[in-house]
Amino acid sequence: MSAKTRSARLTVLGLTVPGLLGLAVSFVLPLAWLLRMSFNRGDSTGYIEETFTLDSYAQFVGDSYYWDMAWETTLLGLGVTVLTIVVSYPIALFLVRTESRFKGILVALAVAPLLTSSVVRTYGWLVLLGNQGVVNQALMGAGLVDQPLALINNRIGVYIALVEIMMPYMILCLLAGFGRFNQELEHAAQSLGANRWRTFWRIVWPLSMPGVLTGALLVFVLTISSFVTPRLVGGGKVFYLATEIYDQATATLNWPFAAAIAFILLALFAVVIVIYQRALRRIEAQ
Amino acid sequence: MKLKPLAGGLLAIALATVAGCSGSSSTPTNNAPDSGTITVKGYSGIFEDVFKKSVIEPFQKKYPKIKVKFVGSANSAENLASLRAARNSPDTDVSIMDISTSGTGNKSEVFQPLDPAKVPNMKDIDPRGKVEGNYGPAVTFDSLVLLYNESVSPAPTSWNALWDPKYKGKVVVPAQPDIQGAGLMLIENAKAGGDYTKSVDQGVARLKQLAPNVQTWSPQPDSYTLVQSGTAALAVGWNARGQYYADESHGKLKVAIVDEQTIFQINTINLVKDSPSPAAAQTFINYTLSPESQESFTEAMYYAPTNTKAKPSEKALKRTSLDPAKSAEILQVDWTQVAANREKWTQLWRREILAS
Amino acid sequence: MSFLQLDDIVKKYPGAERPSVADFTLGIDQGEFVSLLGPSGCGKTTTLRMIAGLVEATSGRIHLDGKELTRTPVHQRGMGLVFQNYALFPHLNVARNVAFGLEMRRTSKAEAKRRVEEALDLVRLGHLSGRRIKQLSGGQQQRVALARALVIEPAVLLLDEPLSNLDAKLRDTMREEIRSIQRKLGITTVFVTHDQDEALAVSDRIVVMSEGVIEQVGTPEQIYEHPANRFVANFIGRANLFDAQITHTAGGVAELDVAGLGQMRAVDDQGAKGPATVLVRPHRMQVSKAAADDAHGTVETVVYVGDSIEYGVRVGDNTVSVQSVAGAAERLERGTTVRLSWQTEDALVLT
Ligand SMILES: Nc1ncnc2c1ncn2[C@@H]1O[C@H](COP(=O)(O)OP(=O)(O)OP(=O)(O)O)[C@@H](O)[C@H]1O
Ligand SMILES: [Mg+2]
Repeated sequence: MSAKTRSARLTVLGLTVPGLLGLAVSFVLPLAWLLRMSFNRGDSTGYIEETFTLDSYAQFVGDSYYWDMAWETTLLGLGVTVLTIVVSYPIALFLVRTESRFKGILVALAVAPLLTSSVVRTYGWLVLLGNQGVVNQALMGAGLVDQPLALINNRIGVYIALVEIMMPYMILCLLAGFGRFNQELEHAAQSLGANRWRTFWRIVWPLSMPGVLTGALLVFVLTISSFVTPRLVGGGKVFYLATEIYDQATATLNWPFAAAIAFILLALFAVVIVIYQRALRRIEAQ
Repeated sequence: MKLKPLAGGLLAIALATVAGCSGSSSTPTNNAPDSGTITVKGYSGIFEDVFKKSVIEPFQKKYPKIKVKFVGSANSAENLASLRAARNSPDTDVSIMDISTSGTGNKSEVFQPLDPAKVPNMKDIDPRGKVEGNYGPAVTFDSLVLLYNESVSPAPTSWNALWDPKYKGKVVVPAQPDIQGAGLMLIENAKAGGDYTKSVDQGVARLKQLAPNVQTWSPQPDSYTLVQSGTAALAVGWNARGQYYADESHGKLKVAIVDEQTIFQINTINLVKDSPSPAAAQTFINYTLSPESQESFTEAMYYAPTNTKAKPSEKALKRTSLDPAKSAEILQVDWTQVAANREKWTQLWRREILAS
Repeated sequence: MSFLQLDDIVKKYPGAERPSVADFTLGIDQGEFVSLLGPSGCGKTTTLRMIAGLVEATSGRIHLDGKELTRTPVHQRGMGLVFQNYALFPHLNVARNVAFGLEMRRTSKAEAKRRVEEALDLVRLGHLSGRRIKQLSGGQQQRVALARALVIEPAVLLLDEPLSNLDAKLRDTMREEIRSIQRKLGITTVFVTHDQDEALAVSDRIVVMSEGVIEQVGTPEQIYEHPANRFVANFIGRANLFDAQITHTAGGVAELDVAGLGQMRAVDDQGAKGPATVLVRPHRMQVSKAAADDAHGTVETVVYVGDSIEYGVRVGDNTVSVQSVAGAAERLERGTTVRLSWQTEDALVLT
């Protein structure tokens, strides 16, 4: 090893240590603490017994209620992800294509909701979707329904609010993922005999795949780990892994169980990330 | 391989950092009974506003050298959770929470017993509010009531109004583990002849029938706001806040003290273990238990006083849960039992009531 | 009516002050190779895209083989397009790029395979059919684009500056290749370029455009030797333009009084007296040493360009370019006083 590469390596080391240290203190250590906590025994009064047991995991695995909850969580993740793609894609495509001189402003507007907290936006949806909310008033005013639709305090509301909250993330990912796209490719396809529909499915969609996948991963993970929106909009009737962690940690005070669910959720993340990487590799290999 | 020494070094540094954080409190304990800064954690929102005005402000006048900081918490469980998270270096001295939760705090040593010499007012506390082992005693009494919107008439006189099909989708009940939901279940269980120490099945069956009427089991931001705005027609809630909001809303929200049994809600005031200023903290606790402070809080927010020597005005007293005319109708509940059953009942609710 | 007929085509982009293409009328015969030539922004691409259907004409009509296709959508026009940046599909390999148009036409698998191979062989890329686009050089991408456009057997091949992204040497080879393939297939071709050498080298006819209108249409020889006006003369090849006064004109020859040069003669097919412009190409000018009192001007610059020498001769306020074959005449130094002259048939009176 020459002196030069050694000093280069030291430099790299010097530059990465603060980051690694930050990661260790802010991520690895809490995670280790959480893992340890999941092996304690919690009782129903919230009392925690320091021990080493798999009780909490057994409680989860041995109860079909929690399997259902894990399934509902996965469904929510998938559903919100798909719906978010469906509603964000046309917007992103428009933003990529537009030659308007307000393009910059339009992009900024599309992602501006990120500037407000999702709690605020969730309260916004509570107001909009409630019985006296704009949506129901409009539907009744138009004579489409004669009783307000139950749009909050149930799963529908959770989906609606989450999709809206996730849209800016998806749009950003799609915009970034459209890098390889340019309108000339559409023109080329059309000149070769492809109508709009086939141009979209054969050219535009495959080229946007990296963005779609990244957006899907991000939205899925954010969705299944979100607890504020499901709690606020769910009316206490719908339960997901993330809300359960929150409830166990702050209401039932069973921290070991909360920690165990947190790790199970983490395992779900791992599965999704593996799927994502496989899919991405397949696309890149094309 | 090359990474190994690096990782080792990292771990060492990291562990040192953690050890630094978790080592016993870095601030020295302040033992002065009449000076220093104390932090009090209690309910946020309207409780915080009124408590500051009618308890903390007069206290500051009396003890100008003690500075009191109030930190709001959404509910008792969150309050305890945060204290427990900061157990290795407590930043809070005094905590006000529901007795069923403070029991857990006592048991898991989040709280420490009070010194009767420093809190002489403890001996005048109503027997229902005394806690074994000199742990934090009751500071307020409250009771479960029916809240209703002005559009509801005639005024409801029984819990049964909640089941009225007229109010389908218009009823709000904060679900177990919130003790408002638990309380309603215990009331209904007793009404149906059940004994909650053995089984709550009858109460659960009743609430299952209520489910179709319920708009939300998790009111946002809270029951009072939903009833006041008319989004909901009926809700179960606490008497003190209900009375307060009834005044505030000029009658948009109304309180019905029903002709049936109800439950008592007790807030205790607790001394946090390893509190930075335990002496000043107990001076404060003693003050909140004094007849003078108890009367002032009752007049302001209709919490019933826990100090037997407190004599609030007849007018205020009639609106508290200690209204002499009603006191026979309190359902006796052992909150330690309720706490012990918290998880079990929560699961029961989830599966039997909320899912339907 | 020609095979491809454009009549009074106008394109005004929304919000633009003036049309980008105006009153464009042109007939192109089957198998003809026509170039659209003109400076940047003159409307070449716009015209080509109107033929392709990618840009909708504001007014006018387009006919192909007698059928009107002014409003036919792009994907039904059956024209082969090659874009300046090639526009190859990055997610498909070479063979699948070429096969795309056939898939859209639902050609059978076996036939598609055969035709793709043929097309790739035609552009000499048969060995790269499995390659990813990223792994191709610029020239190879160019060939793929060409193969992709040709494989659908288009009625017309449209090329928009296909060579401008290649280096000079490759550009020459590619243009020969495009031309020979075009001859072999006999395919009607419209070729957009702003490079006059390119246009002169490959075209059957050239359309010179400026600011959206046609300045001249003709064979390379016609355009070069008989530019219709100052713009064309200046744009195609190098030109000396002299201001002159026609004193007498008869039988296609004009006598003129050229500023700074005196009495000269030039070919004139207009036959009108008065002020005129005379075009003489630099290599048609003659220059000879002269005594100062007899000279037209002074040699200002001398540049050796391999087998020829270029002189810049100062005449009054203007500089006249003269190109001499090296070694054919005495070499002149800077500062030499000279006389300029030309053969009558080498000078042309422009309007
Ligand atoms: N989409 C458009 N919207 C508005 N104006 C346009 C548009 N496309 C082209 N133009 C204008 O039309 C005129 C002709 O453009 P065009 O692209 O046809 O020129 P060109 O001859 O191909 O030039 P170049 O050699 O630079 O490619 C230009 O002035 C251009 O600014
Ligand atoms: Mg162009």
